[in-house]
Amino acid sequence: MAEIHIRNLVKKFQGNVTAVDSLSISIDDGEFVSFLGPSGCGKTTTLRMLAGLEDPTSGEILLDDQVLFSSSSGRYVPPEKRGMGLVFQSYALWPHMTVWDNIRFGLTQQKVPKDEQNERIASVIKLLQIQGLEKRYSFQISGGQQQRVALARMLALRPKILLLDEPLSNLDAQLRIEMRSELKRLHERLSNTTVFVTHDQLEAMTLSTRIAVMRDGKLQQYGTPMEIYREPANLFVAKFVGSPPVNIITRELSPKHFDSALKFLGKRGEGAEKIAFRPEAMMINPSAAAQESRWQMKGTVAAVLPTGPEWILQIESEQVLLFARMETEPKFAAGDHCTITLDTPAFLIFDAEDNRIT
Amino acid sequence: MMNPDDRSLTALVRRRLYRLRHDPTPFIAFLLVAALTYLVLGPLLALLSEGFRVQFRDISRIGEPKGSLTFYYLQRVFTSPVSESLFWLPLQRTLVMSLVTLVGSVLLGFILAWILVRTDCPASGFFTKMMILPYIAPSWTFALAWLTLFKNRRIAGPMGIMETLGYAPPDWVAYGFFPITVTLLFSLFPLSFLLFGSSLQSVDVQLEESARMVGARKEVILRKIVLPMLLPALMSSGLLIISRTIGSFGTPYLLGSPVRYTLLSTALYGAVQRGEQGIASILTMVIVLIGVAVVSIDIYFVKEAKRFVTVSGKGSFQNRQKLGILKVPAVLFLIIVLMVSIVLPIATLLISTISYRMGIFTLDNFTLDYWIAPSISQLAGISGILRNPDVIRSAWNSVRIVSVVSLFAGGIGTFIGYVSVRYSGSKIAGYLKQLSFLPYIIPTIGFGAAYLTLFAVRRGPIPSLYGTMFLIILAMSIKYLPFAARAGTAAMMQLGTEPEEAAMICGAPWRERFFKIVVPILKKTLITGIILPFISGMKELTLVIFLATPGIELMTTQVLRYIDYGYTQLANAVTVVIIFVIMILTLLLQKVTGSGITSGLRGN
Ligand SMILES: Nc1ncnc2c1ncn2[C@@H]1O[C@H](COP(=O)(O)OP(=O)(O)O)[C@@H](O)[C@H]1O
Ligand SMILES: [Mg+2]
Repeated sequence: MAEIHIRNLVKKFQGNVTAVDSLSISIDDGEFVSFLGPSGCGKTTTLRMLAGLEDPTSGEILLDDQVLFSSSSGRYVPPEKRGMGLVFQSYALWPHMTVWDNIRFGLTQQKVPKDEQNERIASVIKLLQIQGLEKRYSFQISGGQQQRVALARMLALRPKILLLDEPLSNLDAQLRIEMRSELKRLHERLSNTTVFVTHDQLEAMTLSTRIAVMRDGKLQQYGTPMEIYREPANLFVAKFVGSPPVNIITRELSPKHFDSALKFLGKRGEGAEKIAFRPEAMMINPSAAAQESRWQMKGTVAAVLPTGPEWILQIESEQVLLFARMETEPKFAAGDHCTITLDTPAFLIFDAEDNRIT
Repeated sequence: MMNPDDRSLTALVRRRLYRLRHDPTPFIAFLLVAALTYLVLGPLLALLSEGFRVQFRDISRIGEPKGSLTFYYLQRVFTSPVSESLFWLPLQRTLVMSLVTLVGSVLLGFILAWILVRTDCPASGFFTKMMILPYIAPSWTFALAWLTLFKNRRIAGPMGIMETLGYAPPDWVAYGFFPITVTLLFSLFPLSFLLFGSSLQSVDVQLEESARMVGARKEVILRKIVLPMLLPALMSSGLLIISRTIGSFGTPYLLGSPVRYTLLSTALYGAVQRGEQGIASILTMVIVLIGVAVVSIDIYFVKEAKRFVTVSGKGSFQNRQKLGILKVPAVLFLIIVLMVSIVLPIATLLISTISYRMGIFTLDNFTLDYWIAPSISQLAGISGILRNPDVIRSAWNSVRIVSVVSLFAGGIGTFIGYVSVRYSGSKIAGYLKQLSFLPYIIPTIGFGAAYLTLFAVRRGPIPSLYGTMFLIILAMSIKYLPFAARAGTAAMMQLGTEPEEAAMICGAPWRERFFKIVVPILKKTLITGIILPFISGMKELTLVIFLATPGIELMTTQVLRYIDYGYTQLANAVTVVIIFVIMILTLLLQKVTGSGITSGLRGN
């Protein structure tokens, strides 16, 4: 069992920076939860408080029934007693030790007997496929290998919880995809409760059982990847996940479209201030054939961007640029006129506070 | 019911105590803050206290009880009839001399840097290395060599080489303004050479190339693009040189005192020698204030300059200017500078120690007496330096003191770095940073005098340390702290906290983390941080002149003593030993770090 409960966690730094603002979240046993948000939103700080490296200003952290930190009772469990393994963004391998020694150091500290040490080191080395690097120093191995060693170093300690701080962000694109599936494989195999920090929505979407989207230290939404994508709690979440980004129509920038969309939505559109829809929900046709149950607007193709498996269209319509995604080759060139058609379910509707209404 | 605030307060205290056992960093921080506050600010406060209060010896003259507030010393230094000779004349001389030295060293440094960095001058690597040598030798080496060459009968001791050769130099050549300026210039030009050299190297070629693309001519590029970017180096080296000349003691003492050519530092020395504590404190304050002003200007300009200078370090692709027919004159110039600034002085010193009479170059004049004779008849039966108990004792003192200092300074520097990084951005880190920088600002002679002032008498629980080795160790450690602290902080910054935190998660206690993770990773930096203070300490004269008593002579003060007695050859021989030790250590340092010498200079 390894469940994490975070309650009203607050972290203020000197100079009155509130890095984490009353964060409450529960992570079930065996879950793979991602903290997702732009740089500076408090992800690393949260992770470090979980690990015990940073003192929260207030709040509580529980692991199962054990209180790891509580500002009201003053309880604090030091990092090494929390049973958590943390992989730093920089990997933080000790440069004066070989790969083998890097992995062994923690085992020695935990007073694991010699025989078992060797056994455990050999098994994590095999698990992470870094055989043959044992005698090398960190500057003698590649970034991807350093990443694996940093993971191995923590896994050798058999942590109940694995904490990963942007583990893929320092890798090149190819390696990143490889490591991503590696992480998924590891999680399926070991089924540790894992907390994963990233600013890459694609990583969060592909790996997580649940995603916690953060902004300015505040939790925006906590849910499965599909919930986050399809039912974003607010405009920030909608904009942050999905690529190309969600299209937004506002009353100020495109009043004509906005009014016509409101009229089309009828009762559903009450209180709406912004209307959004995903690129793949748009149907693009050369000319309009009026359809009662659908909403349409005219536009001009600004650019066609083939990505290989699909095509991204950039369409200009009433001074806004919209992105559309097509799976079949479009019969448009830049400058052509087109009609955009949307189904009712495609609409994401937000109120004046940017919260989603429906 | 318990007060909730109270409850969380006790909780906080309990948590803090619990954590302290696992992580003594707060404790270390507290110790550092307390100790450094006393050792850095204490001497300055002591100056204020001594300079504005009636001293015991002046009770009858001032007519007030001991310790009461007085402006007597202030008046004496600034407005009394003796102020002219006590302060104003030395100040004026010091400023003029600094200015001349400054202009000379900046010009020389710039020309050398240009030739070696921007032209296709041959053997530039070799010359660059050699040009730094004058900086490594103790600054008074040049004064000593000058005396050996040019001294006349005005002072005791054997005839100077020139006089033996038939030319008795007049006083103005032998002593005073001219030789002081020239010798200081030769010991200080490497500073501006290094600063200009590194900024010339880091000027982005693309900036110049863009200027060429828009049609600027060569001299326009030089004037409008390159020179403005050297402005920070110009300012910094200028101010650094002023600060050095104001704070230096050995050269003015050796070359100025025979003709009573007093500078600020020697005026202060005189006041201390006469036991005029109040006046000495006021003079020290003036020197400290000048030092602070100079460095503040430097900091201001460096900050200003940063706003418009972008250094991108693409210098390695610079295409070097072709010297053409100027190649021979340029190389000749370099050789002459090398000869005059390093070969000649050291050769003079060395030859004087193996000549029976200086200036005679015949085989029968050759002698090793000054090194190894059990008793030298010329010098009242004193023995050669390698078997002279005084020299051996002072050498042993130097080595002992400087060893402790380097460990001490290196250690404190490391801990300051550690605390600053662990608490980065906090008030404690900021305070430690400023405090550890302060000794850098204070001219060396003023620093030594301030230490004398603070520790000459018992103050509260702290006894008088005057006449103890411990005082010298303290003063040196704190004076060298800025370099050590900067090196320590830079290294720790680069390391970051994560390697240690990774060990923390593995369950390593603080001792293991510090000694098995932090220290081994920073091994190189730490060794540098230990060797550098060692080198500086071995050649330190100005700082210890007030603190070394006849009971604890150092090698450097031994040199002065011998000069006072007229034992020129012995003084020179001891100096040669010092230079030899320093060179060996510098080579060692280069081996350890791969670069070394320049890194300790200013540590950009
Ligand atoms: N040690 C610190 N001192 C002061 N401010 C900090 C410190 N660490 C982080 N912060 C601030 O807290 C906020 C959150 O930082 P962080 O958790 O590192 O963000 P993320 O990992 O999401 O990029 C940022 O505004 C950052 O500047
Ligand atoms: Mg981060």
